[in-house]
Amino acid sequence: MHFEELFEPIEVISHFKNGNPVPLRFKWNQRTYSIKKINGKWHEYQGAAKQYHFSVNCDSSDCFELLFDTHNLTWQLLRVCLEG
Amino acid sequence: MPKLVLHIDGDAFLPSIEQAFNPLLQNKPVIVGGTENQRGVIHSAGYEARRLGVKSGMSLYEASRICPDAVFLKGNYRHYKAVTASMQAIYYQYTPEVKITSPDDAYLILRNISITEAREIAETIQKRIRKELGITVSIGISGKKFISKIASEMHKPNGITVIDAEEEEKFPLSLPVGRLPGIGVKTEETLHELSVFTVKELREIPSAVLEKLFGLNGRKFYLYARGREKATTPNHTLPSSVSRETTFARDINDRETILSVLHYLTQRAGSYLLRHKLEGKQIKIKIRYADFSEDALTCSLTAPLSSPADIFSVVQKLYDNAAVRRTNVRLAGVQISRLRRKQPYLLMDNRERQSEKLNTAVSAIRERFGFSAILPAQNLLLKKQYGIDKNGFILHSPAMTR
Repeated sequence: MHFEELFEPIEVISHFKNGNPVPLRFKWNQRTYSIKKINGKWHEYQGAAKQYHFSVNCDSSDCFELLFDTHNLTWQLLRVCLEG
Repeated sequence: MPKLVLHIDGDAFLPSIEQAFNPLLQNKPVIVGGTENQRGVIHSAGYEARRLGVKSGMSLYEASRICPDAVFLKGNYRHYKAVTASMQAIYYQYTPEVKITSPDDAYLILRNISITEAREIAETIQKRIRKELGITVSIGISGKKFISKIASEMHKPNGITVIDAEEEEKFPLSLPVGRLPGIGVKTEETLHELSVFTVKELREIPSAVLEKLFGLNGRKFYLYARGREKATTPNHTLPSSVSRETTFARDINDRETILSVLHYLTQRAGSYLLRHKLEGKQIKIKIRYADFSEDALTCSLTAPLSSPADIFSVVQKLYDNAAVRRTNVRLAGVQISRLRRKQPYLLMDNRERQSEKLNTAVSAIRERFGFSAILPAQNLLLKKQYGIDKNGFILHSPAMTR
């Protein structure tokens, strides 16, 4: 198993449900990843800004951690966990 | 109907949170506390790692030797804190009387309720935590806090153990003394030297002897052995102490750096006190040396403190008293205990009033922009040694202790 810390800004297509963001697809390294499953989510406050963390799976078993920052309405790919 | 106490205890809490968040970690031995090539000790090991002999408190090096295939994680303590908050929000939906004793365990007091209803509530809480947070908890139910605590450990993971009122007196008798809350390794050794191995044997010892040996705790053990405990008034979420400590990336002996780290740890602990409107009457510092010997110096105060600057002046004096050895330092920590709700002081001098205003302003800035938005000059030295984000310095091994 291999972890990579990325903290890279990414483009995400998402929708909002009950006041919470739900990521659907994201673009990273010129490739579009469709989110198949949200494994878990949590949020925290950085000062007054709320940050949402998501653990998601796409086509492979690789696990991606995404972050949505309400302070500047940006998404980041925080880390990726690769199998093998 | 008398009250019932639910003791809820997270099962391998930190590794379970990691496994719930990352499916690739499921069914793998997970160790939280640091990477395998890092110094420091394990904060928590998952059940898969425990089965191979890994225990909390073991050095990371030792764990990597025993379990080379384990996944070592530094841990994300902000994530764990968020999960703890979600668990607490669930508890408060069933009773206002919740006492949080650590991030993963809590006592819930239920009044005017039958044991069957209490069990149903326990099952609902267990199911909700599993569904909403993906982790499991074990629950003990009885009329006494200490019996519920022992019971919660009996059927782990994901177990519920109920001890009826009639069984409460007999229940602890067959247990080893070490299972009683408050009896740690040293107390257990002392009792073993007296040929006291079970709670039944502990029951034979008079209260006066136990008090002579263990002070106030002696009286507590005397009552526990009889299935009784001292009645306590619920104080909701008031913790008994707040502590922050860290292991250095390498052993150091530079007074300025050690004091700077102690200052930062005091700021973190002090800001917790300010945020929760608490003050403490006892301050302790812990210094662990490269040879694993430890100095722990305590100062009891006549007047309680909450301001980080005032607390640090005591910490600095304690450190100066401790810093007589030339051995390098491995770990430093600060603890503030004997906590109580902050009392309003009508008679404050100018300095105290200014300090209060400053603390309120600093807290407001940090509340809005994050902890690192405003840092005291004493911490500038740490900027060269640690990474920093909005939440503060990224320490080598942060602790989530309260």
